[in-house]
Amino acid sequence: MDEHMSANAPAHDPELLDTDLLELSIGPQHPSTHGVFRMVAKLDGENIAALEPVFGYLHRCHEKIGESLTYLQNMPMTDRLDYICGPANNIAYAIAAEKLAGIQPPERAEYIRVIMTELTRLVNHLLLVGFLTNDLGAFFTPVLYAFREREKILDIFEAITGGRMCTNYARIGGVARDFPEGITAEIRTLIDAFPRFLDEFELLLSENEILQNRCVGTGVLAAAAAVNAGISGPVLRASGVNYDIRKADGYSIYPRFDFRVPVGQTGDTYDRYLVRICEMRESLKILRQALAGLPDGPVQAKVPKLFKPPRGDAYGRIEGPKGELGFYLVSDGSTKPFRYKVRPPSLINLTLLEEMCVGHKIADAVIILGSIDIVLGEVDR
Amino acid sequence: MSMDNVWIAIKQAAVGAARDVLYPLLDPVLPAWITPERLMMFASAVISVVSILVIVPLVMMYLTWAERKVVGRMQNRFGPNRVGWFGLLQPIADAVKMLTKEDIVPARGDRFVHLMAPVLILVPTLLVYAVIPFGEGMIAADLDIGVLYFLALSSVTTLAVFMAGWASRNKYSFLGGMRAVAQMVSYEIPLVIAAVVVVMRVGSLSTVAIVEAQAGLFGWFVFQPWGLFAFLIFLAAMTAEANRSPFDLPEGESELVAGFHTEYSGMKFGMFYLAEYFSALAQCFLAATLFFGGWKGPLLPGWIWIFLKTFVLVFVLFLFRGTFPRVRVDQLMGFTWKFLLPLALTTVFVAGLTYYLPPVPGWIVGAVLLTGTFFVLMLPNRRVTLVRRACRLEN
Amino acid sequence: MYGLGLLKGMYVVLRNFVESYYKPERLVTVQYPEERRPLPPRFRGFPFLIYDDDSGALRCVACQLCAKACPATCIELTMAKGEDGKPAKRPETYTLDLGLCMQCGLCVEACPFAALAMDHDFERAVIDQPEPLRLGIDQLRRPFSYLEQINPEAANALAPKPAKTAAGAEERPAKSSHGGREVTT
Repeated sequence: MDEHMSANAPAHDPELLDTDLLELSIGPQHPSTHGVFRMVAKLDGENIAALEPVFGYLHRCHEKIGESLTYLQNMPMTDRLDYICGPANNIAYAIAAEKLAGIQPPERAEYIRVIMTELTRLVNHLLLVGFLTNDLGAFFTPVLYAFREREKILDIFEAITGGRMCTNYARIGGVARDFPEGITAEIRTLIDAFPRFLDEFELLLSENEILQNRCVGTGVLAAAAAVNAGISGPVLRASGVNYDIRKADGYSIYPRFDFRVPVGQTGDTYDRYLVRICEMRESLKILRQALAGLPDGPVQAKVPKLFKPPRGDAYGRIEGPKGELGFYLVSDGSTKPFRYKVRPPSLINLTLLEEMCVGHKIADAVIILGSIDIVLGEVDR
Repeated sequence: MSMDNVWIAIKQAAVGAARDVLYPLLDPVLPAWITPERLMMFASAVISVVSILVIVPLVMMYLTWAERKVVGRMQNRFGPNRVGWFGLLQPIADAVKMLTKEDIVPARGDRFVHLMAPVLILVPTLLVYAVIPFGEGMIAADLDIGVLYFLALSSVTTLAVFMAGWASRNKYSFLGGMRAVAQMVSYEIPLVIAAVVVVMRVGSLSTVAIVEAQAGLFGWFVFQPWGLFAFLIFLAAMTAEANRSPFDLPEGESELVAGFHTEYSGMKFGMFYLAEYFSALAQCFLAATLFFGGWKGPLLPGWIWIFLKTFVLVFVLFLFRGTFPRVRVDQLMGFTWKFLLPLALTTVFVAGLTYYLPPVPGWIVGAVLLTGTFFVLMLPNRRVTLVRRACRLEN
Repeated sequence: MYGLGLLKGMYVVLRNFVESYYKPERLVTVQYPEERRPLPPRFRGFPFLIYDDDSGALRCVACQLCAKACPATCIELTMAKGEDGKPAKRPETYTLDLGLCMQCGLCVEACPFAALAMDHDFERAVIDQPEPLRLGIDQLRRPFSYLEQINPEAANALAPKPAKTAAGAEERPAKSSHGGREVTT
């Protein structure tokens, strides 16, 4: 790494030594960047003066490929976007396609979709909280505790859909197949045991002085800046803005459930961590209500085998675990979409990375990135 | 016949053999200045050295095994259990792996310093085992300045770390090494002051005298308020000295590479790895000697007691590793200079004050003063005290 | 209070350590390959071609619907020619490219003749010699009894294929063909 003069070197006192900004490249191969992601940081000593995210290492031409596949064939491709939250991507895409054709899925399918989305939220937040503390240096202990619980949920996914992370479960007009025998009992057992695990996790981490030392006050994101940049999801709510698409948009059958939205106070990393823990508890509430109210019936609406939506466009979005996951589909009347665009929450949340990191130490950049919760499959598509 | 007696008997036999067998055998070829007494001393020393060099590395090797198993269990998984029964051959597998790696020396680096750094970090950490009393009469060298010798030699590792960072000719290793040196030097001070508390009360730097002064079960210094606080300070400082979690910044994400030992591979890296564990084990032995009464204890022989106490302390180190995230470098410095150092100085003062008071009131006064100082010292460190925050739940 | 949060954390970890010795939920490792987790019936491995146990004939009629349904275009098949030169309703070649298949199961859903199902095989790594990645009919055939073993639910839904008439018209198996069908493989 060579030191070189930066174009925007800070004006300095002529009596001080003439210093340069050190340009340091974090990544793309780095254990803490959650994938192939590169941050080019300009350091003034320990402090970050400028930070530029560089991504695109995982670009797979997802959207262009989507234009050459039929609507049904795109479904397993959406699994690979945010590969941690497979079911959520499927459901968001199905909602977009249903909007395009004006199809309403049956009741049971809606309940199943809600159950899968909330389970996905648990899966994602468990992984995030584990890896945030791993970036802090806690030698994998919280990761393994979180993954122990996550494995139970992934086993449930496997029993329902056949795949753990790449589930290919939602279909246009409903879900692919009904729940197998006995799975609701398993989900209920999991939900009943989960609060105890969350309490133990919070006892381990939430009041840990070292963690608070590292996270409180780092990466503060002001509410106005967040709203202006289009941030969504837990990052936005941690900054104090009460915007949850499940409440604001009321899509699917969410208005029937009674749950609250956790909102943070200052928008630092600690708030982002706390908001996710609280969201997990709220998800448990929704899951209990959904399981209790699960009706009988078909799980797929009557959809023609070769799905040909009318000309037009539609934007379908869900409150995904990372934020607003949206799919914009433009149809020209054929079996393949004319334009297929994904609104990735991770990418949009990343746009403010520099603003959050400037002024902090280099060691904090990794934590701030971890708390935004990115998955490169989604950022690069 | 307990082990102490066995060891002393072996020593005496060796000394006797030197005097009665070896000297007459070698008499014709030996120069005049090698008297029988000197040969006996040499034989006695050889026994001590050999026993330390055999037992301590063995203990340390299985300490690495124990760490991986214990930390694994803390994380709800088995540790290594594939290599040999229960993974007991794992340390040997690691040693073989390190020996078979290519030895890379950076091209523009300073070759001599690069070679000397691992040597310099390993030898002093082995030398300090000479002053640890493993039992009654089982000490390699009963120096009058035992504790001073220990602390002085364990400071030499700082120099070795700096040499390693310097010789690598790599900007990031150098910065990582400087940071490691800053950490180790800063944490020397509370470490030494905590040891000084005990030395001051005992009146002697000799480790044997310190153990003798802790007679009876509640005579252990850790049951005194100044002893307890000195032990806690010693524990924190010892963790930082050995570069273990939560203070493992030098080998963690320091400048995003492996810090001062980036450019080391193969057995040289193995030496750094060994030295970290030797040093941690030696400091635990010292803590057991200074604060927990060394080898004193009812029923069981002395050497079992000291090993038990040391292993409990080592288990506490494993628990730290499994639980805590890493402390950032400025917070590390803040912790030692703004919290540990004033607390250590107050402990010295309290230890001195309670010397002049009768036992029970002295205990109470000491406890009150030290607990008060602990809480008062949290005021300048308010940033690090508990932030009780919860999310608002809105509809 | 400084230190209390740290102590709570240490208490949690210590409890996990002690309980890992006698509570099975605190030691969740499955010692693969000596112990294996049982796979759920719906597990999606690579697809396989079903043949009837008694006749040994494949159910596949080479209609190309699975090849068209596959997003990764990993299936290639050609229809066989009968003795009279006219197309016979069975595949001549059926190639599944393992390098492309992403085990999504869309081919199984698309097949109207219940000729495909998903296998439970995932241990395909070899160390000595690379196996060919393109599997042919011989490697893909499995009997219907095998499907009953690994996925009884799917086997119940894919009723045995009824007899073919000479003109080629056959009854459909007990599955609705258009929308509203529930795929249970």
